[in-house]
Amino acid sequence: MRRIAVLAALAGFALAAPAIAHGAPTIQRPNPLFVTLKVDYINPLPTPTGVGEAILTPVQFKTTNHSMRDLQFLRYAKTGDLGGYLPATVGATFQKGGQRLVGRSNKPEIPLYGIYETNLDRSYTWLHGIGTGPLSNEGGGAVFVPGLGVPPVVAPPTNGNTAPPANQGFAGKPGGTTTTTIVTTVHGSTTVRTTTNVTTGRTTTKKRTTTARTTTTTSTTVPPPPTLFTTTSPPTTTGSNPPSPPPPPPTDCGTIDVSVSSDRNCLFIITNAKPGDSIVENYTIKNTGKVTYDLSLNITNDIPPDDHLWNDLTMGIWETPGPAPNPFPPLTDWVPSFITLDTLHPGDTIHLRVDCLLPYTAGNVDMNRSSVMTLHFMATG
Amino acid sequence: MATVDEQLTSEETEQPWRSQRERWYQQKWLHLIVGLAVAILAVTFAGQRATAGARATLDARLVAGGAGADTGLIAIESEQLSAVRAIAFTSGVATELAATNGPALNTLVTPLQANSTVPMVDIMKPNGRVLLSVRSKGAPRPIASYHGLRLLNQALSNANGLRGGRYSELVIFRFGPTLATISPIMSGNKAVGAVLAMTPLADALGRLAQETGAELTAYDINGDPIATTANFTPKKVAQDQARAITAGAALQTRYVYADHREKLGRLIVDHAAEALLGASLEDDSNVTGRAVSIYVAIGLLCTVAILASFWARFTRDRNGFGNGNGNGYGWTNGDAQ
Repeated sequence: MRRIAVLAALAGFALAAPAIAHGAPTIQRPNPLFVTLKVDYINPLPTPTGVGEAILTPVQFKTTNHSMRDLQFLRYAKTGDLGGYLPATVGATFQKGGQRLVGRSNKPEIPLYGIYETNLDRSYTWLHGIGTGPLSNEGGGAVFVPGLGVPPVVAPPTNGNTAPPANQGFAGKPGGTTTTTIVTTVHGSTTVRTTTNVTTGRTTTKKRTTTARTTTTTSTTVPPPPTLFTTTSPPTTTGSNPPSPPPPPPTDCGTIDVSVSSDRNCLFIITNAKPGDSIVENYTIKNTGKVTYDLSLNITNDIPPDDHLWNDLTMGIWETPGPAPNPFPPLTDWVPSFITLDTLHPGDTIHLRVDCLLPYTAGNVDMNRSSVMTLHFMATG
Repeated sequence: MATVDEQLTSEETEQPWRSQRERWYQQKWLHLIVGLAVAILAVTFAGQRATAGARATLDARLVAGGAGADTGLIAIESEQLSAVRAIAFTSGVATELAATNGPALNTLVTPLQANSTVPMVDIMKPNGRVLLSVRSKGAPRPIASYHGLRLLNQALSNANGLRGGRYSELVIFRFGPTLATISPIMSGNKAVGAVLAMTPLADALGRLAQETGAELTAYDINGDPIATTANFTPKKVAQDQARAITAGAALQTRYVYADHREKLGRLIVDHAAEALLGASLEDDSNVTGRAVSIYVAIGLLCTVAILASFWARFTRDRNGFGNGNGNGYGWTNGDAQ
């Protein structure tokens, strides 16, 4: 009798085991890897093998309409779309955005090209080339955007200006920076020596940040053709502490048959660099002669080639009006040889925009460094 | 001329009630009891009101958290839709899938998955056999077949419909509940396969919990918790209640673990209730109520003490002036000396 009872109990337990097991379901819990989205603004898309950059194959154009349909479907369709917690606003999108805070609601400056799927998406483009109509951002944003206010007028830097201190970066709040520039000319070569005293917090350090030497081939005239001319300042006299301000350089730094005028006195000097700094210079180059020239450009710098700032700088040069190159090529790309920019027929005038940028990715290594660049234009007939 | 004592004696004779025993409502003990009762009621009421106020605030947070979680799920669904569209409409994907060329498909699809926020992407043939599976690091491992998946059949059979066969659903796989979005891959008008983009539900809830600031738990239609962001194991919901809420019943409030208060609503995917969604937070309203009760009690005691001191001083002042030999402060000259 006892054996039968034990067997019955065992059988009952065996039968109940699956039910008991089912009664304790596994509860899924978040994986920290996926909870916080990792946004990568820097690295390119990897290939499946992890070597090199992936190339995305074009997506078919019909995706546009399908996307608009999906977006429309995702709109709240029932008041219960918020799970009964709150009544959903039927027809509204699940997320708001694009509220117009600034700008004016004027006519689009680019012609309407296509309207897609229930007027949710539209594209604008020129049918032939790029339009020549007036642009609201012509002249680098010279027309103010309503609602943003008028930006303060920044006086152009002069030789007597003290450069503002660099931003805090990761090196702590700068207590103050004084820069002393000594310009000397020895045997026809100009040396720009910059000494920077940086006070950070409790300690005061004195360091020599950059020594820049610039060859004074300031206005080398080669009988045309070819013509070589530079955009550095003319030779400066020997200075001491305090340095005497050099005479203002000429605005036209061109040569025979080709005039080059600049809005920044043909100087390209970076002092107290910090990531994000940019120096823009606009050149107007005109062929005043009677011969057609090929205009080419080369950049030199007497700073040692291993200079970190020199290697991190990027420089974009393009004709205006026209799109800027994206991204800017490294500054060192312009160094090895002359790169042809354009062909100038007699009487031709072109407007060049030169933008020297220290990218945000440069880091703090380049903080407070300085550099001087010499742009050599060559006109080959 | 009668003295004061004689005058009082004559008044007592004329007004006998003055000399009678005090009535019940004039008894001091009664005043004391009524005062105590009023004080206790005031303290209790203030505490309860504070508790109710704090709890109402908590409930409002939970309701907003639940609604925010449902909204966030739509955003995740939108991301998954974007990923499956990008894959399904990329030139060459349909051709390589039809040719069952996994490596070529890998070259086309993997960058798209890496460019999206979707951790799991599967490309499958119409019969459910998986040709390519792309997983972010840490995601559940791939499975070889989705044969029989309702979502797959729905996508393939409605591939030429208005929505292009793209659907989202909460699917409970062996590796756990998953928010899945599918799209057929078309070659001309023929579906040559499908792409499935998936996010584990717990990870989706984890993202949303950070945004809404509430612990989120999903329960299946039987009331069993299937995914949670909480650091405790939530109590099961009764099956009848779970089904009633899924069918559209009003929000339910309960304590899911210790003093963690939860608002139970619906988890909405594709405009339909797929499961139960609970938004919970620790209910500390009783602490607030207790603190307010203590403050009120202290306030009452202080008020009583202040009034008593005023009363005592007033009485002493009156006695001091009344006997004619005081110094104006209730003391006799002899006491003062």
